[in-house]
Amino acid sequence: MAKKPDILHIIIVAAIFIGLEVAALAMLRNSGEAQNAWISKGVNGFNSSVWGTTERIGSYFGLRKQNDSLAAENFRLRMALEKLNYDSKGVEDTEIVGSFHFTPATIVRHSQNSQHSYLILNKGSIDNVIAGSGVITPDGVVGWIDAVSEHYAHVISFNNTETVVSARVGRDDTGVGTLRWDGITHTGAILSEVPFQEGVEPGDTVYTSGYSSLFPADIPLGVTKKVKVVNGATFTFDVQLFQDLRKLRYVTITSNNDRVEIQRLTESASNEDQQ
Amino acid sequence: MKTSSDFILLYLLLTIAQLILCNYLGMTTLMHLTLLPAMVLCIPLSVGSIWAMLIAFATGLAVDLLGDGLIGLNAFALVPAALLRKPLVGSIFGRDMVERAGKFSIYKNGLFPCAGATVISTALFLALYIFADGAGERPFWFNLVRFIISLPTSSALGLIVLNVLNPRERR
Repeated sequence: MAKKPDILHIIIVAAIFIGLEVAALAMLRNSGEAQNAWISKGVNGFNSSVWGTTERIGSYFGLRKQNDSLAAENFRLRMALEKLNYDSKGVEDTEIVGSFHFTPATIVRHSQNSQHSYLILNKGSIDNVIAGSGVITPDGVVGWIDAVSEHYAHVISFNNTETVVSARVGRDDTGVGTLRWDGITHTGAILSEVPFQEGVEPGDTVYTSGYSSLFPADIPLGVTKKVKVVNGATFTFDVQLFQDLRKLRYVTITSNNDRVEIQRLTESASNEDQQ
Repeated sequence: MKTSSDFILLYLLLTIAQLILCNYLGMTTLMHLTLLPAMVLCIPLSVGSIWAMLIAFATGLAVDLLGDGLIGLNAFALVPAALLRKPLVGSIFGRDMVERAGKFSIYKNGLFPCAGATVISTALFLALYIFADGAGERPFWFNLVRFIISLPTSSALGLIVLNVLNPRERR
């Protein structure tokens, strides 16, 4: 009957083998110039590769911290850029630009296994986040906040059949329609009810229109692909989104400071119409 | 016991023969004659891998120190041959041979298995020896030609060594 290999014995044999080879190489290194250079080159190569690997492993585990710091820096830079165009006033953790104030947030949970995807953000009412705010990235719309707790916010994702975003396409502001998830791929959307107009082609960029109180205008969302003319009056576009929501970690919450005022105005106008 | 002392004596004599080969029979730089891998291959299988490696290291070092070569070169090339001695014997002559710590010989096991084991052990030794001796300074073709010339001559010497160290058991 064959003996089972003894792991400890194998380790001892390997250690002695390595020890003897290293001893032989050390002696060889001292006995010839060429061998010295050759072994030194090999040792240096080995050291570099070991240190390189150690460094890569260390960097990998430090990525989360680095990402957090980069996201914060990115947010500060974007806000600084926005401030060049708008009069603004800074508040500690949030930034106010025009009628919107922006709050950086991190996604702590992402449910993406159905037609009703949602996200949980690490900012809540204690951070002045309110329900009805939008959630964006520089590459598109993420969703809207439907509920807020003290420390967290629940976001209805754009990859959700309930979410509709007002978007525009074309060179002027006339090509405004509604953008919704296509329900098939994570980066597919449909822009519909765009008034028929000249000069709109596949490949054009789709932006937020700024007509909703959730999202600021001119956030690039994606590019148009196929176009259909519906009833000879409106366009419907297939849109390839820039942002893949599955890969997100850092987002920005957008709250419209004038939202309540706009709502009141709309309500009073509709009341007057009814009278 | 007598067999063991005979083996040790023959092993020492063959080490001296290797020294003579190194010091006085270096005919060309393209040919390296060696008995060492065959000598290590013939170390009785009752001797474990650790002791075989230590014996190989000591033998290689003795040849390096007393010969006119680079110190550590033979030791460097011979230790792997000692490490792979049992797996090599096991794969050619069967695991039984290793487990029973049996003795193989040309008369008992035939010329071809013994030649195979000798050639493989010698090839491993020569590959490492020529590679380390060249130290990246010599072109690949030179090392290859040296290996091709040295392997059959050293293997033939190795078969003689095998016949000297393991002569007794007949089929």
